[in-house]
Amino acid sequence: MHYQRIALYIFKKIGKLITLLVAVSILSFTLISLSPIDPVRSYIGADMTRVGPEQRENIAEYWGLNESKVQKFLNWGSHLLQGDLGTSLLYRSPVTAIIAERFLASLALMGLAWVFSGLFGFLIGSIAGMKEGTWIDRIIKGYCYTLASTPAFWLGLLLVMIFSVSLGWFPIGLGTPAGVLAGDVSLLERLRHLFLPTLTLSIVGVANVALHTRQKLIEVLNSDYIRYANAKGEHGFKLFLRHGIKNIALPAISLHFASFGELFGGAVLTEQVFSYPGLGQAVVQAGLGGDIPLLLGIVLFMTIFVFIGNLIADILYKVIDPRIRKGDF
Amino acid sequence: MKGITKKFNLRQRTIAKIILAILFLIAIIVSGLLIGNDKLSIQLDLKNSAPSLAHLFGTDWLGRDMLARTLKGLTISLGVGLLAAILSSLIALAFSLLASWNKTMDAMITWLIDMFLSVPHLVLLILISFAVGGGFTGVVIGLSLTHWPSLTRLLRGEVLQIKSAEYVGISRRLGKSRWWIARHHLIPHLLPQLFVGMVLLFPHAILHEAAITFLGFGLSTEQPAIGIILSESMRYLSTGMWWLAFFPGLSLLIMVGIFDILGKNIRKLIDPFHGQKG
Amino acid sequence: MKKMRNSNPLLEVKDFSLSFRQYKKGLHETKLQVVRNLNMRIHAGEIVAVVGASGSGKSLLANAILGILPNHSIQHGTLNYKGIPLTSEKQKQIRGKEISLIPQSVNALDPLMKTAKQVQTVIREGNKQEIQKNIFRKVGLPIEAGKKYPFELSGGMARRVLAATAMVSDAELIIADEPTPGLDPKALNETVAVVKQLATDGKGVMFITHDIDTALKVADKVVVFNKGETVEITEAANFYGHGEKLNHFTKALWNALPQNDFWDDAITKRVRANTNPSAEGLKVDGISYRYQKGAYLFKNLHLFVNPGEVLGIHGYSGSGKTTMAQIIAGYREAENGNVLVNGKSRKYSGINPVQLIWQHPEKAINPRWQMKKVLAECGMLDSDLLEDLGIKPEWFTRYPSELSGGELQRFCVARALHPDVKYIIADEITTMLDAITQAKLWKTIVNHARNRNVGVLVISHDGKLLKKVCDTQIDFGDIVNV
Repeated sequence: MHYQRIALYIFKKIGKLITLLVAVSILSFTLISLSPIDPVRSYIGADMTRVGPEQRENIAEYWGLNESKVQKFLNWGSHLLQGDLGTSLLYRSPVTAIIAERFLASLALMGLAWVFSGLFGFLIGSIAGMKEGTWIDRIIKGYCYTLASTPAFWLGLLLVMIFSVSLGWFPIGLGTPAGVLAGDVSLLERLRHLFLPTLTLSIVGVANVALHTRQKLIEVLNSDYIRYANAKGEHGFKLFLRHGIKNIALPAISLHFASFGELFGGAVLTEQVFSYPGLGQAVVQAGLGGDIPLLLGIVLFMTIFVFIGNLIADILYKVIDPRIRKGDF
Repeated sequence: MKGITKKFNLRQRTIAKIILAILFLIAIIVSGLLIGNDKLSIQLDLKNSAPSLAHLFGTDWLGRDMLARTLKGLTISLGVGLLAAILSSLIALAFSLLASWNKTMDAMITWLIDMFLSVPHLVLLILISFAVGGGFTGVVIGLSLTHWPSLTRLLRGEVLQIKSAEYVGISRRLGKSRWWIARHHLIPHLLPQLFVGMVLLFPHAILHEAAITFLGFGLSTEQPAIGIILSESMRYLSTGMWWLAFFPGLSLLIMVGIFDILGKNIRKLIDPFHGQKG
Repeated sequence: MKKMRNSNPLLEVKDFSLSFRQYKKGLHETKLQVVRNLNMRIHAGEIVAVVGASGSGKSLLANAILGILPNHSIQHGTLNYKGIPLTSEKQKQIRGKEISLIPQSVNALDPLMKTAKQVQTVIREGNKQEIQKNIFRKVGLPIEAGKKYPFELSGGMARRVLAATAMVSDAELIIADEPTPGLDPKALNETVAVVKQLATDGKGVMFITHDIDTALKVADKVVVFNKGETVEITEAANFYGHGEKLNHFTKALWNALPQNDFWDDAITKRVRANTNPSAEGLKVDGISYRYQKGAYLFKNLHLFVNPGEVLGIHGYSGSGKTTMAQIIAGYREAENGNVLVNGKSRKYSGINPVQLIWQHPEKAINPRWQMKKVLAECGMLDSDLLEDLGIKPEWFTRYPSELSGGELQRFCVARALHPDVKYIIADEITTMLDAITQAKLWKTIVNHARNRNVGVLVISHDGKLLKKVCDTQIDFGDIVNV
């Protein structure tokens, strides 16, 4: 009975992912086919004058640019089903390989930032909620509201100006030092390059978790069971540990998992500022350079990424919360 | 200071904050519109000067006054944000009303919301600007098409709540038509929510506009948009010309913050029991 | 009893008043006085009932004694515990230890903590598990209930967990805040027994309730509360006959109870029993209902209401009466079966000839509307009925939040008594109201039913009320067929 429900749940979620991916592919393909940007032109770039119409025709032919839109979609779709996302025009290598390589770099950045912002956000959110209405709450709240209005890329620029330009503590950009083979870069050097982008992304991510945690904690503190716990003589930190933390941690973690989309949005900007060679930078270059296969590949990949985040959030609720675990899975 | 704030009650303070916020925004618009092209002209003899009394925000590598450029940029951002917020609110209103029609419609709209929310905002924006070919229209269309889902979800929840309210059920049993109920029960409840939702969309729209422009997908480089200014400043980062990035970004932050304050205070005035206190 | 009176009181409340700063729509600041000049004393071994309609500020009194009021409250007067003033320091020190609360809502249990653990946290010394198991046995809870989360318990069981928590705390003063709402008689008697046991053990009990009947069952003394003010403090024994020993307000309240005068026997005429079932009437023909393939709430249920008849259905909370009412009034679809009005199936245009009056009037009125719009919606703005119901013209321009539950329910009754309405279903409509308003509303409804030949279906858990107002009574358990 129980396993049956789990199976049904998995089945439903997979079904949802498939319909989602199909819809997103159709949507993005339609959008891209509307684009006035000529991929051949953007591919050749400045060399346009030196390339004759015949050559251009050959390139278009080679990429299958002259076929009808539906045909193009079907071609692309059938390759996609075989796990072939096509070849990137900019990097001239398979899209899958580029995404894999770039995503690993981004994952280091996003993963670290995700953990830091989650922990720190939860901490200050809890403090603000516990001390609601006091000066410390006001400072934390003000800090979060300011952060929520701060452009992520501007924050990155500020950090570069302070720590790299003025103080010279960190390199200005790039994931690895220029002119050194990727394999030779020491871990320390990598971390030095990772530090500022991670800091930027962490700071930006804090506001959401903190405000949510604060809000939830205030709600919990006004609940009947906390008032009752108060009446039973429980108070302060012990009360928070016993009744508060359990009731706010789950929503906070779930929210954090469900924020993968925003996390990647922040990563795009941060990577651009720090010239960090991750997936975010790749999507910008693909968009600017008219690299349609790469752009489509990244869109699909990010859809799965966000979906997984939401899925984990959903499952967490079902596994941890006894009200749902014992109720209907 | 404390004495002054204590003297006024919450209502007066809220209204004062709203008025101040509006005045501030009007000041930005007016000054942005008053600044002619002469202020933005190139004066090479004044290039790369640090902030001074004559040029509060300093000048850039072409000697253009950064204060004038920033104000102009803010005005552009405001215009884009206004258009995008209105358009996406309209989309949200239409969709939430459609969703209230019947179950199939509701399922379709929910699915559509899920789909739009499953692609990261910024990626979707890049896709749309790519499709439309960037520029002012591209940004406005992109922002409008990406910002409606969250507001639609909120409004849809409100509609569902009202629809299942006992007093609406009673109204039906008293023989009132659907249209009558929509006009007397539903819309009066929805309009304030929509308005507040729209004001709170502004900050998001403006930030996204700046971001997408910064990445090179948004407004064209001839316009002194904040995103353009900041992305240009990247080239001069290592020279130590901090004012190129600092002031424009800070101004943007302040404007976004003001919109946020405006929205939250209006919400407090309309619906004081909503979520966060204080 | 006499001896205790002379000793120092456990709790003494002197000239106590309480108000709130409140913000309404548009942030208009108002000061809301909820308790005024309250005086009372509780001795050890004594049960004092605080009786008042819902919203009269009773529960706030409990929170004030424990010192757990929200921040925006303002209080004046003295609270003494064993002769020592209850400062917030003192409150912090003794709450949970010497003063303990049995809260009103079962939501007071932490949703994510097993119940045994919740009881054990209160125990300060000894073998916690052993004590907890003993107390569970004492209040009649199975031991396995301790391994469950609150959401897995029935409302009655959750209440017993709350009572058990108060009992293990060895507090000397226990505040029971409305611990018996809507309980069936068995559960009610159990709770009453638990409370009496506490007093026998030498503890002082403050028993807060809106139900005089229950109050008289448990209490030695009764404090009558109206609109935040103490109206009278009297011995429970003084409630007898026509209340000769009570003061004016309490007397009116006492006499308005269904088992007493209620409506001065103004309406005595009874409608004859159902003689001709095929003629006009509200016919419920074999309806069944269940939630998504769960157990049936009722199966093949039959009912018949004659025009002008007042038919009572008696049953306890959670038994499916409300669902039945909603089906008959057309708010829900039955799985099968029909509802026929004067032989015809319901049609969906114009005003429904069957109107339902809901239990909670605040939910049945659009909070954004002025009251005159509510009346305009149903076309009753200039009906003579408004005067009968005691609706004052100055209420027309008010918003629902500015009126009490009893005042709002009058509007709901007025709305349902539209000339085109043939049958009314009243679902626990006076459960939340004070006895005086209850009597007044029923007088109007029954009078109206007689004069206009409107059939009324009364649904309630209150057998005494049904006995008073109905021509015929049916037990809900007898017709559900499950």
